[in-house]
Amino acid sequence: MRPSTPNTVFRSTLAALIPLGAAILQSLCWPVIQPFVWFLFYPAVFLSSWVGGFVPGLAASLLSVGLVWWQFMEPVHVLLKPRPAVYLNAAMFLAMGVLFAYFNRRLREALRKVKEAELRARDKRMDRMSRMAKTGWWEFDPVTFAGAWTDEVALIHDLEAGTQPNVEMGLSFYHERDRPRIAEAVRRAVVEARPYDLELELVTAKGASKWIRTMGQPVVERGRVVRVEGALQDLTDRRAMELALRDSEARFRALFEQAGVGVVEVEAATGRFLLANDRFCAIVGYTREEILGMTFADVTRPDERERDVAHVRRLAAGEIGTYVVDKRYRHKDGSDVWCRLTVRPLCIPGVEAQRMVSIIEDISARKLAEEQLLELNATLERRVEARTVDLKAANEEMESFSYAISHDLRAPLRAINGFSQALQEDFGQLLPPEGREYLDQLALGSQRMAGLIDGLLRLSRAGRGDLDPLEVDVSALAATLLEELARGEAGRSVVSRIAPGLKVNAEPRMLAAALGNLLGNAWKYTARTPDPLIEVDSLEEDGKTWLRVRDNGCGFDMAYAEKLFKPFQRLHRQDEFPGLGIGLATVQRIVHRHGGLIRARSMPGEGATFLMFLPGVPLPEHP
Amino acid sequence: MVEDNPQDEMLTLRSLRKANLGNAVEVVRDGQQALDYLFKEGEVAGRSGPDLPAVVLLDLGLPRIGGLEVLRRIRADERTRALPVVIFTSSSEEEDRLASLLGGANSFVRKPVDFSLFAEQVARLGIYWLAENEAPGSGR
Repeated sequence: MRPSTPNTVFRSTLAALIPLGAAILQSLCWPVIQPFVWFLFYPAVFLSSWVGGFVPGLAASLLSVGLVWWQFMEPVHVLLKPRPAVYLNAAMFLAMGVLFAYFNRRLREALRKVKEAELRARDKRMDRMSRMAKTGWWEFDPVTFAGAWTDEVALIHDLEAGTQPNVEMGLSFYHERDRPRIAEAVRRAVVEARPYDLELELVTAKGASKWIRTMGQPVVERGRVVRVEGALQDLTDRRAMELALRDSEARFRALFEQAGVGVVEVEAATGRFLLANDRFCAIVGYTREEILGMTFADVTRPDERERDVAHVRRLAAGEIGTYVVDKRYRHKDGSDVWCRLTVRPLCIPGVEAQRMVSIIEDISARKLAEEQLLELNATLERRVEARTVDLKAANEEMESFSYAISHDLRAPLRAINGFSQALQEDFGQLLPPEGREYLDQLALGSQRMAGLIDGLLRLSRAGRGDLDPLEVDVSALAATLLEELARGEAGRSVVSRIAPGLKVNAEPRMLAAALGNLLGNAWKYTARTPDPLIEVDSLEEDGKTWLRVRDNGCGFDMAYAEKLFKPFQRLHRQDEFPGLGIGLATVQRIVHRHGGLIRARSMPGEGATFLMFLPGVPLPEHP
Repeated sequence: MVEDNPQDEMLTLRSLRKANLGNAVEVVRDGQQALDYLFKEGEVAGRSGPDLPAVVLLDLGLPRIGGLEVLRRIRADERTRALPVVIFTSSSEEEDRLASLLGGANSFVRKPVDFSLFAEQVARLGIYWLAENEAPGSGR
């Protein structure tokens, strides 16, 4: 039972007064109502127990029985009635009154429970909403500074749900520097009845830092602020987002403003500059205020405008995404500035109009360098052409010189040789033997000179002509060359060993000349060897595959090896082994023309080995 | 014989003589003279003797008109198209050899420096072209 309150007393009194009212009313209307003694008392008792509850209902029932007993029951104003049925009648009424009181109480309780359940559900909804919105309710009394808040506010402070605050405790959670601001807001709310709205940093009971928004609303009653209530919202998450956004903004600003390249934002439909950084302003020579009133076409070379506008239109239509283009801006002073432009569409949430961002790189210096390079290349090409012409002329001169040697030097030699022999034949008998010998020497000298001329021609021809390498069967070629040598000197028998399947990539005519010289040498220098042997095979050395020509002839001293490949240099006397000294020079020339290498190895009396490497198709594995 | 070198001329004539070939040898000393002689033009317009020789020994390196050009004109003219022409030269250039044979020369012979070879070659040439070969219009 709840303690008596003024309300309860009022209701109990009312409950007692109702039967009294009913008695008075029934007395007045008795002539009409009689003989129904309980007529008005049924509703009266019902009403009393409804209004007053169980006990007042019971009291009203007793009172009603008393009043009816005394005032309305026959014989009236007699305490003890003669008929026993009257007693039963009174008891029945009393029982009914008790039942009224009891059921009314049950009814009231049930109603109260329903109401309470509704309230609880509403509280829970409020709590959930509060939780979701991270917003709670609070109030304080401006006189006592006592306060109250909802659980959510306590939870925001990292306090147990249900902790109740006061103003002093509430303030203690805020940062020192914010307190004057809060005090001032509270003062104005209390004194001037002004609402307030503050964003503050809160240090919770667990020491965590939070950002909150608190909104205070003074409640005025009879011209006086009786309390201040408000809402408190946890903004920590949003604050973090805001900070991140601000951070990103600041970073963008820094990038935008300090970038070494021009950056602009342009409205696609109009071509108007919406943003432009200092670098871009410097490139085109306008101030930012000027630029922002212009379109990109205004600062583009007139003959390139159409192309640019077409690009932008295609970008706006979604036909192309990012594009890069080299263009010329028209500087404020009228000059052209070569720039490389990278353009991409910009999507801003909530902004309908299409925009694009362009990065502009000043490439004047690069363009200038490119032009210079082109010019340099052209000059170089002209020079190469001129040199080539010179070279061709020199080559032609060389050709005609060779031709002259071959043709014109031979005629006088033929005359010397011819007339000395004619002299010998026609008038030889007139000369003493010594004179005839002289004529023989004259003929020999001219013949040797003819040999030298032919050798010189071969040497000059060796490296000439187009190099058109084919795969050559070296084994077959060597065999043919050796057969020719054998035919030329029928009296000698030389054993030759040629490895099968030797192949190189070379100009066939030149290779035949080179190999012919090497084999010819081997042939010649084995002339005094008892069992002459010539070998042709291949060899791996220094990661290359070499063609090897080896003999067991007289060999040579490696001390003179460097003379070996020089024209007209010989390591043997004419009376030992006759020769011109042209052969190996020719071989070397041919090898060099192929970009190859030649090596010689020997010791006197031990034979000679020549290694020839020609790049191109490698020789097969050593058999 | 078309030969500008008098020594070669003497040696060739000697070799022909030694080979006992009795044929008359007319010597002209450059390309222009050779053509005049063959076509009976210029200074020798009214020359006597046969219309055409049995064989022409033609050097390549000639003054005025070169040997290859002489050859071309001989082959271009109706009258001399079938005339036997032997190129007799000091050159051993492959190019010359090729140009001569493609130009319609009947032979290409290189003059050797060694005189005994030279004499032998001239004799063989003379015997072949003058005695053995049946030239057009030789009447045999």
